[in-house]
Amino acid sequence: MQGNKRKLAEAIFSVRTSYRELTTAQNDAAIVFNDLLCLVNGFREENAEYILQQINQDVKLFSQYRDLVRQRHYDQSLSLAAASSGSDLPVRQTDKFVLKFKRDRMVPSQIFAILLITHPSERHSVSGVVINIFSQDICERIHFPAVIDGHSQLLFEQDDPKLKLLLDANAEISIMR
Amino acid sequence: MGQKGINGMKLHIFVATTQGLVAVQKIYEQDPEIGSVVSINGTATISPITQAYKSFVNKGAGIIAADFGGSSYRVNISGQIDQGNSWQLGFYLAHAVNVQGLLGNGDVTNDDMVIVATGEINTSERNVLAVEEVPLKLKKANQIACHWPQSVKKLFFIPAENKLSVVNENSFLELKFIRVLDEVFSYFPIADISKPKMNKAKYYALLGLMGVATLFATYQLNWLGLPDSPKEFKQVLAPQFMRQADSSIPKSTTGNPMLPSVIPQKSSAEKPLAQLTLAYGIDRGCDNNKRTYLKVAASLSRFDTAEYSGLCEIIFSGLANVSTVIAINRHSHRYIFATKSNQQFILPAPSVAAEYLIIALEKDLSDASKQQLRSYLFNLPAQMVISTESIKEISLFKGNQLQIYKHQLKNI
Repeated sequence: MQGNKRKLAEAIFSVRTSYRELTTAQNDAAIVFNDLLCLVNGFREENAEYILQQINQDVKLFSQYRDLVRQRHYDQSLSLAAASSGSDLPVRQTDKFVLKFKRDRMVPSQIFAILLITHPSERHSVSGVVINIFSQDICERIHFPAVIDGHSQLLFEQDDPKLKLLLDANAEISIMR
Repeated sequence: MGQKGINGMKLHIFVATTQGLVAVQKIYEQDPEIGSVVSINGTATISPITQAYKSFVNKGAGIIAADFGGSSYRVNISGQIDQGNSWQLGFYLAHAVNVQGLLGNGDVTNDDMVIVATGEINTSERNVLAVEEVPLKLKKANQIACHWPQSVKKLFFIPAENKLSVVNENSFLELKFIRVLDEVFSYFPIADISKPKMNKAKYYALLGLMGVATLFATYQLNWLGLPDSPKEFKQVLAPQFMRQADSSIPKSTTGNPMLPSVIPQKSSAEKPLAQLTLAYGIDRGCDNNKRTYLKVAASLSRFDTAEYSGLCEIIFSGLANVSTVIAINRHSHRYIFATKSNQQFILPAPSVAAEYLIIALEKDLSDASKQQLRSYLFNLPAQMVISTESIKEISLFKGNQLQIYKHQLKNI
């Protein structure tokens, strides 16, 4: 009798698990390490938004992803050490890249984010540049167009959340390979 | 939006696409650190053709920076242009119009002008290449053009190579088939549309023109031609053209012993007549400042045809109240301002035998007017022969008394 109860409990558990697996939508699939690796390397971009959403909801995934970015970035700019020169638009500069911002001459509420890469890789020149931004507990990915003559840029409205992250002097910004 | 032209007109430029017309709404220069960009309706949404437009602007592969200056532009368009290069002709036109502050924003109103365009540009040859889907683009364009006021002049520029594919039936747009890029300027309002920068050929031509003293001292300049080295300019004087010094011409009173003096008028009651004196070199051409002079007879507003070979200078005089004299080559459209020496106006000999107009103005031209003249002449169709009537039509001369004379130099 006890044996039958245990078997029944197991059977019910299995059925429930199977039912959950069968009826759960694709996007609710668990994020595994391989997904993080693909995201860092720029593969399977079609799932990028979903994976990033999961990363931002899970402390462990967030930490794992940030570690992978730090290991595999092209270059990185940690938080700005000092205040900018008085402009409201900071400049990030390392040996390998410069990230600066300019307001549109006629529409000051629109801001260009200008990315200059000293020695762009072939991927930068063909597929564009992915930037990972870590600010407090938020991670964001921004995809810049292909680098031409060392130059790439995006245009944002000044209240765009992605721009705010780019402008955050305390954010950790990583240029991916 | 968009400044009104001299007569209040705006000129709207539309790019013809298979989805309909896309207006070029606005163009402005950007900080050089910002790359050229095409945005949709002025929002932060970037058009997919941005990278291609950037190349179209840049010197080297592109044409916009070379022709209009600047290095970075933002273009706002009213809709998506997804692929291909057929937008290039429209964008080029928009830049040309924008330079003059006439670009409309796509809201067509009475008495405006509209140009719809499709065409890819060969930026090195400056010709317009065939594109695809022209019949469909024309159909879509007509669906919109039929709603514009009748008073609007409506043109559709199509590559000449696409002509056979087009059936122009019941079109609201007047079709113009363009082979060479510079043809488009002949359809613009005269003296309103210009390129602020010249292409290389005409730049070098005008370099000699612009009164660079050093070049004049060192070289013998052609009329808007490349400066010649002193060696190249030495002419062999044709035997039939050897002349003895004309002792009937008084000695110069202008301070330059090489120049004849102003011919005194017989009577103050007589109306002053324009005089043309041609100075020919002796022996070794024009280098040694030895001259013989030939006074050319005039009939109405035309001076008699004269020999070109051996000519060094052209001296125009005789009229009262003349502050500026311009000579314009009727065929090449090159021009030069005469150097004033007391009451005489001196022009260097042109590089080749030429038919030209001499324009005597009562008032000096401002810098802006000179630029306008340059632009007008630069944008004339290459095959056009300038006439006296066309000169009188130029708006920059209005309010300025002018007299125009024709003359021809030939190798007789």
